[in-house]
Amino acid sequence: MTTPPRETEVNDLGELITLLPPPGNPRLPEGRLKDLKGHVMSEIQHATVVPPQVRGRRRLLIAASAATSVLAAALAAGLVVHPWDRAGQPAPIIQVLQGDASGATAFLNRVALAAAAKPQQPVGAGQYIYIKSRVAYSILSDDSRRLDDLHDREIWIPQSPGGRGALREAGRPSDLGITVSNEEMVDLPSDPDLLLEKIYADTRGQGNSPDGEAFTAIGDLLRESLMPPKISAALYRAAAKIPGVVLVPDSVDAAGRHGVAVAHVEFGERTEWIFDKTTYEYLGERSYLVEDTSDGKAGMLTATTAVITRAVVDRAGQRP
Amino acid sequence: MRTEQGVSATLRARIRAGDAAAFGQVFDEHAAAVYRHAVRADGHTLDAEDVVSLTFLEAWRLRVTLRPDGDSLLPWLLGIATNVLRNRRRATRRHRAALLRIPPAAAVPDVADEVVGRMHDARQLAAAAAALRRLRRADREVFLLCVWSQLDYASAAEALGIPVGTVRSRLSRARTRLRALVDVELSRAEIRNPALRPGQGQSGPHGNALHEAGGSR
Repeated sequence: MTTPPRETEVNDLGELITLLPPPGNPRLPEGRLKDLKGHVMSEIQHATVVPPQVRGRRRLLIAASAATSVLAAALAAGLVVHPWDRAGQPAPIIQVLQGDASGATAFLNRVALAAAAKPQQPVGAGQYIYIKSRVAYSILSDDSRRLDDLHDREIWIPQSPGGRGALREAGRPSDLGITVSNEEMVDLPSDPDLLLEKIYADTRGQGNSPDGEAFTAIGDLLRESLMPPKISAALYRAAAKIPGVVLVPDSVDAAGRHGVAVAHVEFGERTEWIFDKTTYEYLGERSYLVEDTSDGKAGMLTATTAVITRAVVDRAGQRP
Repeated sequence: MRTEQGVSATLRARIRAGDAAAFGQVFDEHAAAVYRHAVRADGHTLDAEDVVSLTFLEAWRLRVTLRPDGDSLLPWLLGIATNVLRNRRRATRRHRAALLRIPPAAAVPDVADEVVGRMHDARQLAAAAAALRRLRRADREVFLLCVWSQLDYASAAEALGIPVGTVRSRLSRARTRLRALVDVELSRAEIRNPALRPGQGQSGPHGNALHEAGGSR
């Protein structure tokens, strides 16, 4: 396409195109293309939590919150294509434990109390939130499901609006450009009911169920942001109010740490947020199928993550 | 159409970061090519709009997997379109609710000339797709990308996540198969009409798929 084809390519293709030429040039009317674009754009923009002042102030960056943007898609569905890396292994099958619907609320309220009691970590304007995690997601390849190799992921999220984010995944650095800042991401009501209302409103209209969307949106914030204790407590209390949230007595994160999980099922796939049993610290996420689907058997692991470090640094690319 | 490497790298980074405006730009640039690819692959236009929507919804969902480096985003999109065409049921199930929200198409004005033109196009599409279906799926996918959508070997390899050597060998298998089909059809045509000789670009009144697709251009 963009690189000049080699001569043998031209010859081979020349014969092939004579043997079976492309049938005409099917085109959609301009107006219909516009309809389809409008549809796609409205679907993708309802799919993410957008801090309200971002909508008003920086129209160019309709972007999802940085946390939502970078991993949400992958975790929401658990299927990731890594065209540059087809390594990986067959996804492991884990034991599916029974979820306890009545225990989730009490547990999340204890997590909220622990979160509220934490000291507020000071962050200056112009500083960056650094989060290092270990992750593996399932790869969509032909008809089999595989899990890619466990690898490190480091993200630098600007604290203040206008900063440039950075990402380093499996050793590959990339510039995220001007991303939604941490300050904007965590600018949320500290009242759990208002918070949940806002999350439902912001995620309304996506293909998944509203409850599943709200769960995913909160999960994104837990994974990659730095929240004031009050807001993080409110998020846990809000999550406790999402219908269908259950407690799973034992789970393990990508770093091998065991904990208790809060989970939600969407399209036969359960997503867990894993917490330390005694400190209630957020450890990571895990997703797997809970029923046999066309994607795989019950128990097939589709994602595993572990947050290793969460810190404040002065520059993008700098490690604590 | 070559994009500056720097511009393209920034566009890729913006999409990876969830910048919807940048994604809209990519839709403007490539939706027509994705539509064309879908219609030709299916041999009809019935599902092609859904394939376009599914491809872009999937592209957005999978945006973090976009390589940070590279030129045009078309190979990436056509790779996703190939997966959508191959796993249509799975993709449809995932985006079922979204598909229901596609606005209905306005009625097409029924101008007689246009109807004739459309019928002719439809026959041509169906005939070419019938020939295409005689290739193995893997060969067919490479053929569609390299020959009809004109990706170079490296881009097709990137789109399908396979080595360039595999692209080459699949195309060569497609060529062998198509040559054999042409030979068979030609000898049949000669039996019907001994005056017909190879290489004249004609197709008989009941022209076979290969010729009908080619002869009417």
